[in-house]
Amino acid sequence: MNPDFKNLFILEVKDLLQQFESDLIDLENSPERQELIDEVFRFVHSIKGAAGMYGFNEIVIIVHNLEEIFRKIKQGNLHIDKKIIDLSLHAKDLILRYLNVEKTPNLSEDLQNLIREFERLNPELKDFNKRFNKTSENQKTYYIIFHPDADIYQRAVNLTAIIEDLEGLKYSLVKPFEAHKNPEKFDIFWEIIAYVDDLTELDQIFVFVQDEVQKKILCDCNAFELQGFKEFYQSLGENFSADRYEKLRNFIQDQLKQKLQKQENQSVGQSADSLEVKEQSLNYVRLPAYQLDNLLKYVSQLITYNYQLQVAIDKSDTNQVKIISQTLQTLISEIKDYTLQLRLLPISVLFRSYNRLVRDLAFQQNKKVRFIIEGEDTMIDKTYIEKLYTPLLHIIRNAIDHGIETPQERIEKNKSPVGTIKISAYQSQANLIIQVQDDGRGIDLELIRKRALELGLLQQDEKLTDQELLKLIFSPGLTTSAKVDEISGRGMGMTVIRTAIGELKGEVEVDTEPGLSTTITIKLPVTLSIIETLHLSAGGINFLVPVFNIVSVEKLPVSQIQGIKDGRIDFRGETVPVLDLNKFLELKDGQQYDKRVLVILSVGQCKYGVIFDNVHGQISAVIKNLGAVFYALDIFIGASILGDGRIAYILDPFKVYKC
Amino acid sequence: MDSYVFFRVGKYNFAIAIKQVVEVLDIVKTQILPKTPQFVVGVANFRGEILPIIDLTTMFKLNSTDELDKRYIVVLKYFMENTESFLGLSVDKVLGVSEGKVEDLERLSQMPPQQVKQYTVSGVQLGDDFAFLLDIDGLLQAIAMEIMRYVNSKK
Repeated sequence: MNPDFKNLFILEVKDLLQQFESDLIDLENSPERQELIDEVFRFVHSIKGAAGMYGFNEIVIIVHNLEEIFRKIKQGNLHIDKKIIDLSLHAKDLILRYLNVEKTPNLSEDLQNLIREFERLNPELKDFNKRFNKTSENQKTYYIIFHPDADIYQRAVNLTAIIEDLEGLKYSLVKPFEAHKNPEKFDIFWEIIAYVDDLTELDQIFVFVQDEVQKKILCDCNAFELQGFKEFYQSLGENFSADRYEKLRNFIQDQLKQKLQKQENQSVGQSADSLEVKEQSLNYVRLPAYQLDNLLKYVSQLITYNYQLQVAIDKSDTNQVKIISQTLQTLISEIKDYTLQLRLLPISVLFRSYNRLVRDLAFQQNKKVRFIIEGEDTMIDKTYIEKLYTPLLHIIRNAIDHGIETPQERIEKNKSPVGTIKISAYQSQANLIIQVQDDGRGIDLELIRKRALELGLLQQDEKLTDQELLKLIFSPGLTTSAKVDEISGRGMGMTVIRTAIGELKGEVEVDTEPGLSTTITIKLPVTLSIIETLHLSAGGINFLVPVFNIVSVEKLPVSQIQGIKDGRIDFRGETVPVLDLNKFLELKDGQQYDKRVLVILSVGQCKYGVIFDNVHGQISAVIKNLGAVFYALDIFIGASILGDGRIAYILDPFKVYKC
Repeated sequence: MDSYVFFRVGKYNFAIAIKQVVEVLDIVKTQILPKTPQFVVGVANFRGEILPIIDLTTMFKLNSTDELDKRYIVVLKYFMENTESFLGLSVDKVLGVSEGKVEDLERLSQMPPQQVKQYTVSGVQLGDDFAFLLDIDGLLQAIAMEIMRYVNSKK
């Protein structure tokens, strides 16, 4: 089998798992949504066949179990509850572990436990599991006590042969012990440690003495391959005691953990499958096919112009050469933008990965949290996604640990028992803004002040504004002590967050309303970003408006627009302010129109209307900044170059009108 | 000796170090940039990038000496606030590129006009004549300040 295919399969399943996880969490919140159950089936079907083909038998078992459980749900015989969601999430984790080919401790044990739980929910699964589950019985080291009855010789059992067979196994340790010190009676038992690929090998040896054998599993691994295992065994001494099994087991678990850590630490040069996959997952970019087609179109254009250039050079037509060279320059710059654009991914990839964290953490702490994602279509560079994961994780963790109160506390404060954490992303000028907001208890500024005084970061009589006080939260000294003191918020990790964001040349700001909310804002510079916009024009100038903020677009007769009173209009029963872009930007009213265009924009809680002359259609615009000297001109996010080379300004709906 | 781009605004010669200049353009098509002071001519498509253009003659409050049928654009690349951007300076005439020796302002026969003084650091020899060497960082900051003042006044 081509290993590339297998790696592609692994990457694909990883993507699917992410989606599966967020579907499950959505399903937990709204179990009535049939389409989500259908999504689960789709997920199962897309990986079941291929998983078997690539030898992931355990994954086949897991997804089959999932399928049967959800079939019951669909038929109405089972109902979605926390238990089922927990199990399904657990199943997802296990699939991931099998995919990573990580020999994590207890992998097989966890699988057995999961299957048992599934069987409890749907006993029909037992048959299937019995048939296919054999594979996962493999790879175990057994701890066996073989204590033959005194009459063993009378039964014509060849004890010597059994012991020889056991010693003859590729991996085994066989040690006899005397049970009682009674020389008249035969009373010896054996302690056996054996690793076999297939349990039947052992069963065959013990076939006539099954009742006299006690088997326990030491680990889902080959203990003999662990460093120092035999030496450890010898160190247990010559006397039997009941805790020998425990001691061996602990030793093995420790060794496995150490091995795992070593594997994690050794980044490059290891041929372990898991590492290879990890490395490669960073290097693959998956693209819609049309993007590659577009790239090819660019290449063919380049070839055409190059040919024209050759002709012009042969004819020594300087003028023509000049013209073509200019066209080429524009084309090359377009290709540059386009190619960079291929690196962009929607930020939803990042945001959704926290769904599970919020759910599990909130449950652990007996808190109720609603997790809201906004602006998940915002495009962001792939490298940013990787680097933002940890800092955002810290921020969200903090919000749950220190921000959101317990339901009881919230009710006492007249808040809804369910807390809210909102993560949002949007574009503003040359920056990408990511915001995490919680409606928890906020940050106690007085405590920060107290701690800062103790640490000497602040003089007794120094007066700081709230903003300046909040900035102190980033001081490393304050961080650790804050944690000890359990200051209400954002103790741990703030320095880590700031450092990580700093590496991306971004900024972090903290804002709080004590008792009500905390907002962390991350501002990142963007070298290139794409925004979905509506192309409009006014006063002969082209404008682009982010689709994200548009509520409605309507062509209205000029007479109706002139009739607007006090700059306000009734929109779906709501009175909203309206501004005429021509007047607002002092543009020349060159042309006369019969009809003009009213666009209703929504910004946070408020709506307002803007009047344009004409509407042209939707385009994905590459945002170009106007340059740092135009920083104050914040009504424009930037500008973009249209297909015909003209320039359009991208309006910032947050800044055009302040509600 | 370093090389400089020499150009004329009003009746004065100016110089900019060549390493700060990307290119010199003659006529370009511009589009107005709303809500900006008068010295902002507009923006142009410069090889697929946005090139805002500042009219130095207006900015320096100088008068063009002759009837000029065309203007020149000196394209700068600058780095500010973590971003790299282009800015075009519209000038009366570009005199050329050459090496020049830097002179202290005090030693020049003529002082820069009052309104330009803050952007002038020294002089550069230009044949028998001389030019005022522009402090680009200072100039960019002044432009940013002016734009901010204008935008705020319109709010």
